[in-house]
Amino acid sequence: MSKQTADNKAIEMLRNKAEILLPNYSNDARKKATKMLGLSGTDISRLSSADIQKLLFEFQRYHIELELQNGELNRTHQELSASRDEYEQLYDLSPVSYLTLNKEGVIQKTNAAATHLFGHSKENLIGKKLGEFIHPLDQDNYYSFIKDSLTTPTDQTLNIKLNSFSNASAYLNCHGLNLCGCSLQFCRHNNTSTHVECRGLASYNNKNELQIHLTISDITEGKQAQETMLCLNEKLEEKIHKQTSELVESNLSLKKKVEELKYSKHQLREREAKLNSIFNASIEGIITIDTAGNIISVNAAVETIFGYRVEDLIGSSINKLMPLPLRNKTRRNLKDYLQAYMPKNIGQINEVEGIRKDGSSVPLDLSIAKFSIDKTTYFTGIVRDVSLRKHQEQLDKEHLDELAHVTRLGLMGEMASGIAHEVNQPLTAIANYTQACLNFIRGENPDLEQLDEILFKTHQQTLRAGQIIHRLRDFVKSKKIHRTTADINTLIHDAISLCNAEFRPNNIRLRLELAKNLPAVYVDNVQIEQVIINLIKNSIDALKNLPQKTQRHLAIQTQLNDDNDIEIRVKDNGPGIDEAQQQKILTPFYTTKSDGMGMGLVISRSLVEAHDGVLYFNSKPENGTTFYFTLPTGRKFNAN
Amino acid sequence: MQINTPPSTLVYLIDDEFAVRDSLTFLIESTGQAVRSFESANDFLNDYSHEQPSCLILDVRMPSMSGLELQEELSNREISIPIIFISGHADISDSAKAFRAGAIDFLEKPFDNEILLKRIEEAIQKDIETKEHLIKKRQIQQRLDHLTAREKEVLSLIVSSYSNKEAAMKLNISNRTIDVHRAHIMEKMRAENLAELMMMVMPFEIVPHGVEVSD
Repeated sequence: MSKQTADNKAIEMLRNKAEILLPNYSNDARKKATKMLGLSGTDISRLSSADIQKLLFEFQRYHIELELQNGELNRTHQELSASRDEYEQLYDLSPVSYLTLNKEGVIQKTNAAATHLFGHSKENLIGKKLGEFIHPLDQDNYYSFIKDSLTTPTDQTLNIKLNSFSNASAYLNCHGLNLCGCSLQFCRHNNTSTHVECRGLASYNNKNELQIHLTISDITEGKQAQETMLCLNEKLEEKIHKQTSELVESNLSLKKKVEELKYSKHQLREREAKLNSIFNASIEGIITIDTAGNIISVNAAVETIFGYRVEDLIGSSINKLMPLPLRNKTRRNLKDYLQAYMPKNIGQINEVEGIRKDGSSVPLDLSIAKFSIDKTTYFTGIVRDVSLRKHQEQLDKEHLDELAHVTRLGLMGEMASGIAHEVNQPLTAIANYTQACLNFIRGENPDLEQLDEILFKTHQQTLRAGQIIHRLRDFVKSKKIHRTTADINTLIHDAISLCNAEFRPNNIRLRLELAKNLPAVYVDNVQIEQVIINLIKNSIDALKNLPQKTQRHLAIQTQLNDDNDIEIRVKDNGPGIDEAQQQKILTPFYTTKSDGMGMGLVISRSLVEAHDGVLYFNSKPENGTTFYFTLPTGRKFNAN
Repeated sequence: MQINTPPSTLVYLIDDEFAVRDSLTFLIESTGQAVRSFESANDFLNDYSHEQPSCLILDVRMPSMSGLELQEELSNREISIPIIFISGHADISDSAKAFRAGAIDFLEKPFDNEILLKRIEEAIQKDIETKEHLIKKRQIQQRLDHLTAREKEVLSLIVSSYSNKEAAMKLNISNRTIDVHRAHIMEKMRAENLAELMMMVMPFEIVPHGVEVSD
């Protein structure tokens, strides 16, 4: 807009200079010519021809000069009219509205931009007072502007509103609407008035009349933009205010949160301290490793258990503490192994073997937990040194073995008369046979074949007596536990041979239902025989309570059960065990017998459990009792 | 060592244990004595005959029926065979029971064969005597059976130490009638004198019928 104004000024100045220059120039030429004539002052006729010639020459020279001047003038004139045309064109086509007013404010001259701005043709504008087009509210300003323009030689500027013209309503989008819900009551959006900026400069025209040259710029857009800006500013302020209060609010809550965080941080520290103290005070070793088996952290107990210092362990492989069953202990293998092993064993307690710094092994109970930090997985192993417990278990086992031995002696005591009877039978037979032999030999013509037969029978009876004594001695003497693979059916036969004397006199019919081809068991023969004898003896004692004439049955059965364990059953048709007794018979020192210790079943159960089996029973009053016990088979042991 | 027992005597042997049975059979047979052996008491009861003088070697402990039970059963059946008990172990109450019920002996296995053989001899001798006694007793019984009711009444009073006079009063008959009955009794019973008569009827425990025996 200012460029336009500058252009206007330049054109105007040029025009003024040209108007002043042209009359001056023509005056000068005339004066010069008159002067030249005056200077000569002489009559031509009086002049000599030389003078005349001189004069003529002079005239000719003037003439040429004049023609030259005329040509120059014509050229200047042409330039001027060209410049004028150009000016007119510039004037008319200028995007800035130009108005020329006389001193009464009547429009004298206008350009196309002005007609467009005012929405009237040139004809309608010229001759009309500019005040008619001006908004009533701006009339006062306008008149003082005109006055100022006429009196002051400098530029005057006026911002006014024109009366609205339908075609001049430059529609402006209020961008504020897009910002938010606009709540301003007097939004300028609908105001269609045209705002203009007028610059006025008074000058005299060639008729010496005072004129005002006005350049009018449409500043509606600027004005509206300004108003929109104002509106937006207000909205912005409102928004800022709102946001400020929100910020204050969130600041408050942040402060609160900071306080809370401080508190929880404090709590965390406290907890960490507590955990740390637990971590290091724990008697269980706590070892954290990564998935590759590298030790990340250990607690103080680990030092105690393994004898290493913490520094010696951090970063080392877990293999250092707990040798893994790997042939090739490369990192890769270790990682694969851990990946397979760990998830299976999380939450379980496994017995593993650890290696101390001094190379000695230490039995451990190991439980594993898994956790992840930042997508990295770690495993925490909690290890407990169970060497003391193992030792205790060993002691308990020895204690059990001793107790078993003592009760075995007791059992034999109870069975002594039966066993004596069992030994007496062959001895009696032997005495009889030998006496018979003597008698035959002393007689006439002893029958050698008969003697042979008798002596053979004597020999057999001797062996039989020897076997019983042998078994008895094994049973009573054996204190040292010696496990071997054994056939359960053989053990049952051996046990029966020690209680044989009890069956016939007590009118008990023994039935054996032993499964063939059973897998071997890995047991201490004497202890298992003790269990069998105990159960047989209990059944015999129960059967003795039946009326004399009732047929008493005792069955011993073996079979392989679904778990691949051998199940041994000792079943009688005795009076059964009432429910009150069932609760107690497996407790120590409980007995229903006048001569019983109440340890038989307790020991039997302990012995079976020491062999990884179970002992239980099933009894219905009036319907007999069945005792069961199981033994793992050799197959299972091999699998382990 | 030969025992001069008539071959018609028999030793019964019951033991559930084959070796004992077999060896004892050999032993006893080696003395020339016949043996019949049984595995159980019932087998024996089914086979036993009282014709021959015999004895019984009996094991105490046996299934189904024990030696002592058999002894009781024999007593119930009034079979008086002398019993020598043999036992695998000495049980005082068992042996006391056996002796009370009239056992010859109670031998603990293994036993001295000579003692056993000696006991067998004694037992058979005892059985012979018993059997003779029994025959005698049966004869007396037969004689008693021949007495009339009145004669039995008189007999019971006489053996109860009543005098003729007392008996006559008791039965409310004359002395002379008593004398006649008494002579008939002595004749029927083939008794030489009162003492012999009393010996004869003593085992029969003749109790006066319908009379109060009192002073």
